[in-house]
Order: sequence, then structure tokens, then C-alpha cells
Amino acid sequence: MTSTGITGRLYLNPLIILGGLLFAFIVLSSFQAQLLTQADPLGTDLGAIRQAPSLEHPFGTDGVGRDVLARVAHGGRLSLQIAGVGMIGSLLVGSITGLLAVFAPKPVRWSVERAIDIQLAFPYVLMAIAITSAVRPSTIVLILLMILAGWAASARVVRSIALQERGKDYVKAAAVLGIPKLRVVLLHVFPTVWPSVVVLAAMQMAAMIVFEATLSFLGMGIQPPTPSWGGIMLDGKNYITSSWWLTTLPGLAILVTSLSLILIGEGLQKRSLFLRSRESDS
Amino acid sequence: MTPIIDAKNITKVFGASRSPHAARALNDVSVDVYPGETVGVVGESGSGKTTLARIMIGIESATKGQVYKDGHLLESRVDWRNLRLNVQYVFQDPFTALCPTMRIGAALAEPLSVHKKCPASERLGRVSEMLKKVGLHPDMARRLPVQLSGGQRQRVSLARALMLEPSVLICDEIVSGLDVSVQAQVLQLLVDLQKDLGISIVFISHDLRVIRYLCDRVYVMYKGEVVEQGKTGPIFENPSHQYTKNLLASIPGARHDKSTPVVQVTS
Repeated sequence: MTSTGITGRLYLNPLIILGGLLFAFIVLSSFQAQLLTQADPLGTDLGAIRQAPSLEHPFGTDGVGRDVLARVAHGGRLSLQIAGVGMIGSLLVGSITGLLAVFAPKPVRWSVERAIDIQLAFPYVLMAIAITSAVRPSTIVLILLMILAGWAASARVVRSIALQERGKDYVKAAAVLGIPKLRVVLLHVFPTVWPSVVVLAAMQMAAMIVFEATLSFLGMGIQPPTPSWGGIMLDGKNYITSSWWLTTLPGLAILVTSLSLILIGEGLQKRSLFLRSRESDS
Repeated sequence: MTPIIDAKNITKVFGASRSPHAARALNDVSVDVYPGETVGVVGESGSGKTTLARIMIGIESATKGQVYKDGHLLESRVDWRNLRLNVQYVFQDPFTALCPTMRIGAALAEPLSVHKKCPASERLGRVSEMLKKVGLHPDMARRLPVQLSGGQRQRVSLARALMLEPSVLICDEIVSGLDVSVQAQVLQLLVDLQKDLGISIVFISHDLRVIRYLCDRVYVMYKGEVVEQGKTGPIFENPSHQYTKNLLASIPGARHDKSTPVVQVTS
């Protein structure tokens, strides 16, 4: 028997470390873009349009001579911020609804479950197109769209775990001790769901990055001239046959970012499975 | 004298009662518990012991029948909630009965703070005191359930149930998941606690030796019915029902009475 806390140790694995390093690199180069390049992401130079990658412009220049590396780096900042807020929002809504779907009175439970089913059956890009055709796209709208697209998946995960926990004796024991239901849900059940929420956070973040890029690429996200990854690809799509770097390199940034997050997510999942197996061994 | 708990004519049917798949777990069972006594409920798996106990504390509701507390019929949710301040339950499986993410100290202090049993400053002291009472070191308060053995967890479950100073403790097969040596320790603890606190205990078990060691009175259950009840001594000396005779004959090391063949009872 050990007396050291299991929460005190990190139990990192190679997936978490690799994903974490990649993601840290992306975050650093987005939020400290001047370390990577001094070029102005908005400064046009009509004397140097659509130049291929070179030492001066490592990612080349776009149709009005803007430095693509600077645009990708600066664009990442907004993309990451929006994806981050969207991820937190969708996890928050998903956790609350997921717990409601298990512990609320029957009519509420039923309604939440149906809402999850409907949401999961709905193609989210179609929904986003419908909504942005009715309201003018803005950062707030974009974030709300992301929450709308992501909450149901998190709710379903939280619900399935909470459902297992509900049947366990410690939840019944709390009821026998007269502990209020809300307190049981928040202090007894939610902490056991939490490790899965953390895994979900990484996966959701990856999905949100791609979703933001999709919407911006379709012209429903961040509006030009503000750079965002999807927006840069949209600018470059007319030149896709002649200037490959305008679409490929921002696409690569999206790929690396979501890959790093998926690696982190997988790593966290392995870690929590490992910790759980240790728990049941003892 | 009025019994503290009096469960009258309890019938429990799982599933829709008209359905051919409905399972009748309890059939017209009556059990009462008087202050300060230890009542045993014994029977094989599936005889309805746990269902009965869960109905007595209100985690399960009876299809038919009533439960009285000190002579008052329990009807509303408030009645049941008040009952639970007085009657506590210890679960069979010590590995699932404690919240895995909550430290022992917090788990023990929680009922005190929820029911405002004592000022916040005294809680820690009460927790240490209770841990000592169940034979654990007060330092255990800082641990998570994962860091405890099965016997230690069962002691913590007992301690938690006792935090509200109940007058009745329902123990559902609390030693069946433990090693034999640990079983004996926990049973001795139960005997000591009862002497110390003067509480009534409802002890549910399939183990007749444990029941004989512990209980003043015993109910023998078979297929959802009480087939025999009375003082432990006479029932063990002179069982009247065939099922009880078979149960007694099945105790390893018991004097095998040639006149009672070990056969299934036809119901």
C-alpha cells in the first residue's frame, strides 16, 4: 500500500508528449507570430504577388503579395481562440445536458435525450449554412455555431458514463445518507466523469479547428481581410492549379494542429485506462 | 414495546405484475426490529433478503405492504427522509459503496455538513473519532478508497453509516466479500459497536454461523417468504421447517443428522 496520491503524478506517455510538443509549437507560433516572421499579415505588395516559397517568404505570397507564413501564423491565433471557446462551450453544455439526461426528472430526461438524437442526426454544415444565411456571420455567431455542432457528442459521452455510475452503490449510499441529489451529481458523480471530459476536450478542440476552417472556407466564418486558416485557403482556391502553397500550407497547419490534439486525446485516453486498471487491481 | 421498524405484509413484484415475466421477489413478508436487538435475516441467494432490506430503508418501494417507524406509517417522501436520519444501511460490496474520487475524510464529514449535525470546526474531530471507533487510524481520512483494502473500506462504510448516529443499522451481507480472517474482525467490530452504542442491527447473511454468532432473533427466508422466525437459539437447536433443517445441515462441520436428508424443498 502506498500513501502517495495518484493525482500527484502525471503518468505521461509518448502520445501525450509528442502531441503536446506539436500543439505547443502551433500555439507559440500563433500567439507569438513575430518570433517566426516579421512580415505584416495584412501588408500587400503588388510587386510580389503569388511568389513561390523562398527564403524571404517561406510559405510564399498570395494574390495581393501578402506573406502567407505571417497570415497562417496570425490566422492561427484567431482560429485557436475561437476553437478553444467553442470547445469549452460545447463541453459545458454537453456536460450539463448529459448529466440532466441521467439524473433529471423523467420528462426532462426524455426531452434531453430526444434533443441529443435530433442534433446528432442533423448535418451541422447544412445547419450552419441555414443559420448564417439568416444572420450576419460574426465571431459570436461562429462560436455559437460551434457549440451547437459539438454539444450533442459530448452530452452523449457524459450521459453514457453517468448512466453507469448511477447504478453504483455509492450513489445509492449518498441517497440513504440524505445527501441532496444536486450535490451527489456534482461532487460524487461528475468527478468520475471528469477524466473522460478531459479526453473529449482534446478531441473536440481538433474537431472545432476543422469546423472553424470549414465555415471560414465556405465564407461563413471570419470575414476578410482578417486572416484565418479557412479564409486563407478560400483566398487561394482560385489559384490551386498554379500556386499550390496558397491552399496546401494553411491546410497543413490545420492538419498538424488537429493531429497534435488527437494525439493528446489518444494519449490521455490510454492514461486514464491505465489509471483505472491500476485502481481495479488494488 | 413498539418496534423501531415494522415492515408489514411486504410484497414485491419486479416488472409489470400481470406480465408472465414478472418476478415475485417477496411474498407477504413481515419483519420487525426492536430497540437494541440484532435481527438476522438468512436465506440463500435470490430469497429476497436484499430486496427486503432495501424496502425497509426506502431505496426500493414495495408493491404491497407498509413500513412503520416507531408505530407511524411511512407515507410521504419526507417520512422516508426522516427515517434515514435514524436508520442507516451498509452495502454489500465495499468496492462500489464509496465514491472513488472522494477522500475518506470528506466522505465521512459530508453527512454531518449536509444535515448540519455539528459546527464545521468540530467535523474533523468527529471524523477522527469515528475512524478510531471502527479501528482505523485517523490518518486514513486523507486517503482515497483506492488506497484501502476491502476490510478497511468496509470499516469506512460502517463509519459513514454511523456518522448520523442512527438507532438502526441494516447490514447487507457486509462480510461476504471479505477474507475469512477479515470477516471475523469486522463481525467483532459490529458486536463491540452495538455494545458501545446500543443500536439495533439488522444483519442480512447467507452464512448461518455468522447469524448464530451475532443475532438475538432470526428470520429464515426461502423463495421470497419467511418460512421460520424466532429466537436464534431455539431455531438452531430445533428447526421446524424443512428448509431450515437443510440449511443447518449444510453448515460445514455441523453434526450431520441422519434423519434429515439433504434434499430440495418443494414449494
